[in-house]
Order: sequence, then structure tokens, then C-alpha cells
Amino acid sequence: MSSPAQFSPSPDQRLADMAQSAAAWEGLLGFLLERLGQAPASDEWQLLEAHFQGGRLEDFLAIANCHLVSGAHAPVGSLRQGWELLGLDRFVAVLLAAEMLSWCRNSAELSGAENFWAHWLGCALVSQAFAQRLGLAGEQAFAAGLVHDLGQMANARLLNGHYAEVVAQARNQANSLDQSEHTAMGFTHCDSGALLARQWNTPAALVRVIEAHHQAEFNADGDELTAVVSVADQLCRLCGLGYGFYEARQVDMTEEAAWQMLAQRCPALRSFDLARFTFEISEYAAEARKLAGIASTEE
Amino acid sequence: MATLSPALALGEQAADPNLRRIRDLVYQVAGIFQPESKFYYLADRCGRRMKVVGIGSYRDYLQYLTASPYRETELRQLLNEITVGETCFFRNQPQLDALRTVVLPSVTAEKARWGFNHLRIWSAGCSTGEEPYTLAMILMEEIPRALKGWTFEVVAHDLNDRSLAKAREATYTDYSMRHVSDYYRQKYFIPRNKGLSEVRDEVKARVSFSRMNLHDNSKMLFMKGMDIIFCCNVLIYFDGDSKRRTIQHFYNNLLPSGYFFLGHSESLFGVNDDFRLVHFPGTTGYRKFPVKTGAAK
Repeated sequence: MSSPAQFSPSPDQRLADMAQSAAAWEGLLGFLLERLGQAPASDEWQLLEAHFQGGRLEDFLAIANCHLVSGAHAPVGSLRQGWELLGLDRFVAVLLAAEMLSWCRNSAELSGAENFWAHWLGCALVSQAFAQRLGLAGEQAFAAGLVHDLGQMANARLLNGHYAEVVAQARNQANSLDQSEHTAMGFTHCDSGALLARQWNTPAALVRVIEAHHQAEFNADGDELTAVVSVADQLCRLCGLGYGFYEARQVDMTEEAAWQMLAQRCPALRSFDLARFTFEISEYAAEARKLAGIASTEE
Repeated sequence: MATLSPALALGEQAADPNLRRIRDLVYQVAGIFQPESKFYYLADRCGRRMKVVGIGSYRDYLQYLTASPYRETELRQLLNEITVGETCFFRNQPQLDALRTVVLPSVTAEKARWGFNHLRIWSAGCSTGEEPYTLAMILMEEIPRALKGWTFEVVAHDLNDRSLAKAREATYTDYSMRHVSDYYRQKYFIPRNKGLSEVRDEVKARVSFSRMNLHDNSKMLFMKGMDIIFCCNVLIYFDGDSKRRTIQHFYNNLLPSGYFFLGHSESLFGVNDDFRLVHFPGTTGYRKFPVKTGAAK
């Protein structure tokens, strides 16, 4: 198994190399991350329509027409209709989801990448639902949940096959991926993801989520959005929306720093039925897995 | 629209506000939750009951469940329909995986600190025995690993004498065996005539069956010293007060850091505040306070 020393010359240098390589990242990932929350300029429509063709367009339409993603609306049949019916924020987020799914479908570097995508979309849905129950902004939570693991894409794409070994190690040891990353590489997807997100001018609130969703401490004036995604990430990984392998662990959510911080700030959490919310996640899991093209494991 | 086909009408069922209210009523009364992806199942089970009582719409059936003189009887009948056919070996695989990979290492580590090497597992409401025998087989598999140097017993109770007789007989049909792998079939069962399978004596020896009413406070008081309790699809039939009282007995009978498991999609929300909800991969359980942070992560 790879050790940090093999990621020469050092984790910091490796991250710097990744940042440099990211400039050559094909596709519209960086473009869309920068556009989260911004309307595409009129001259950018041609770019979008040229890029979202064939299977990528089909993915966009499937996601846009999923009732859990976009709520009830008339069927979306084109990019322009998506823009009109979904609203700006959700439209760009759905484009981004389709772009990420396309990357996963074609990824030679990450076996079972569709499982990762199902986790990302599931985390978006669960973050949104959780935020709304707490009286927080659902739309931003959706985008944050979707991009929170950006660093996993970066690691898979830019580490020349080493990342597959790290994922295999986590799978074989039924371990959490961030722990295996840290052991093997000296940094995690939070570090690499934040680096790329900054480089691509992603909104600052989302960069914080990408960087800090695994942090162990949330102080009283901490970032609610990051805490929401942190809880949603844990719930997804324990409710059938993990990375496609078993993580042998238990979580008492009330002992998690993110939960405790939210409990102080959001009165709704004090009477929150977490068991029921957990059961509801099976709905999101089924939909995310269906969109990712993963066969259901349920009877 | 009492009997909608799953493939055709999932969206229609999910959108029906009365079916959603029936789902919420079942959760509120029995603590058992049906997600929207299982609405076809709920619709089918409601449909069966609606046919029996001659009701043609979910709206009228909801009214029947909440405002008719027969509401309590009917709710019990509906719960019977929802949980029918649940009993089989290896019924809830994520729960059993959590037992093997997380709970056993956690409980044995905690008990070993105090010099103990014996485990007591309780199957409360064991019906015809599939659950306690499954637990015994899983624990026997762990004897060379997590339970090396340990002894254990599985205590199993039910109220129904006929169920207990069947459990002691330990001979099962293919339906009960439908989730049993070839490995377990060959190691722990003996094939009998007419496609039946009998649990081997060494498994039977690990399980003790007896009759007990979970409402019986005096008997519940004497079930101390449990490490893990399974009580699946039993409490859904209890009213609020008896459920609270029974759960409190379970809590008191568990050793510190012990675990309590309910059936799939059952919840203790609003019933007990002492137990702490714990998430495992693909399932949930409850743990007795105090819980040490990261104890078995």
C-alpha cells in the first residue's frame, strides 16, 4: 500500500502539483462551480448547449425531472426550459450534477465512481431537506451537499491512479475514506477539494463546506451550512448512500460536534425526529442510485 | 383505487395525501415508518383491509381508522397486514452485520475491561424461533474471532405457546429459510423430508425458550444483566403507556453500554428519552447511556 512518502515529494508539494494540473481539467466543472449563484451570460449559452449534448444532456434532463431534485413542475425538455422552470440556482446545480455524473461514467481512475456520485447527489438532497427542517436555506444546502466531496474527483483525476489504491484500502479495511486518505497521502479530499474550489472561484461558503465538512470541532459561532452538510454526509454514508463499500462504525449523532453546534443554534433540532428522518433517507437513496444507474440492493 | 400496481402507480400513491396520513398515523401509533418508496406496499396492505371492510377510497379508510367505533380493531388488523410474513432467518441483514462488525467488538471490549467474558442476548417476542437461532449462529461464527474465550447465551421469550412449541421443534419451511446462505444451511441445519430443515442440536443448545408476557412487570424486573436486546415488530401492538413501561424495563435490564434493536423502520421517538439512537451502516439501533464518544468507531 502507498505510504505518504510515495506521494513525493510532500503532501504540500503534491497539492501544489494538483493545483497546477487542474488548469488542464477538461469539461465545464470549474466553469460551473464559478457560476453557482450566477446567471450564465448570454454568450455562454452557446457553450452550455454545445457541451450538454447526447448522454450528458440526457443526464441533465433525468436529474432535472426527478421530483426530489426539483419539486413538482412541468417536464423539462431542454436546457432553456430547465433554466425557466428550475430557477437559476437549481438550474446551475443540476448542470453541475450532470457534469459530475458524466465524469463518473467516464472515469477510468475511480472504479465504481457512480457510487460516489450517488453519495454526492444524495448528500445534496439530504442537506437540503435537513436545512429546511431547521429553518435554514435549502437551496444553498443542496449545492453545498452536491460539491462537498469535490476533492474526491480531484484526487481520482490528478493523482495518477494512486487514489484507487487509497479507496481500495478503505474498502478492504471497512474504514472511512478520509482516514485512509490521511494515512496514505498525508492530506484528505477536504484539502485537495478546497484548493481546487478556490482556484475555480467557487463561492466562499461552499469552499468552507468542502474544506471543513470532516472537521472534528464546531465552535458556537461556527458555520451552520458546513454543519448541516457534515451531518448529512454522515447520515448518507450510514443509510445506503456511501461510497459503495461497508464502513464498520457506529455514530451517535448527538455526540457529533456539528449536531451539537446546530442544536445550540436551531431550536427545531431539539424536537427533531432523527429516526424518522433516517427512514426517509431511503427515498433519497433510491432516487440517487436510480439516477446514477446503480441497481437497487433492496429486495 | 384500493389495489394499485406498484410499477404503474407509485407516483400516484405517493401523491395521495390520505395514504400519506395513514402512513403518519401508523408511525404515530405504532412507531413503524413506511418511506415513499414503499408506498406501493402500504397501498397494497391498506387495499386488502379496504376490501374486507368494504371501503373504496383511502380517504374513507382514513376516516374509518380514526373516527369509526372499530378504529382500534381495524388499526390492529392493518398492522397485522403490514408486518405479516416478516419472520424468517436472517431477516434484517444490515442489523446482523452491525451486530457482528460493530456491536460485538464494542460490547466485548467494554465488558473485558471489567473482567467479564460472558454475553447475554435477549430475543424478546421471538415468535417461532428464527430470530434467536439466527443470533446464536452468528455468535457461534464469532467464537474463533470476537468471542474467542467467551461464553454466551441467547434467551428467547414469547407469549404464544404454539409459537414456542414450534420454536423448540426447530424445523422450518423454505419460506423461513429464504435468506439462509448455503454456508449456514450446511453448517447449522439438517435437511428433513418435504423440503424442511431442522436446526442442529449445537445451535439449539445455545438458545433457551420460555413463555413470558412483556406486560408482566414482575417478570420483566428479573431480566437483568442483558448485553443486547432484540425486540422486533412486537411493540407496534402496544398502546402508548405499555410501550413506555416495557421500553423502560428493557433499558433497566440492559447493562451500561448495552444495545437495543427494534424491527426495520421502527422508532422510539416520543416513547423513551433515555436510549440514544445510534446509526450503523444501513440500520439503526439504540444504546444505553452513558456512551463514550468514538468508542467503537
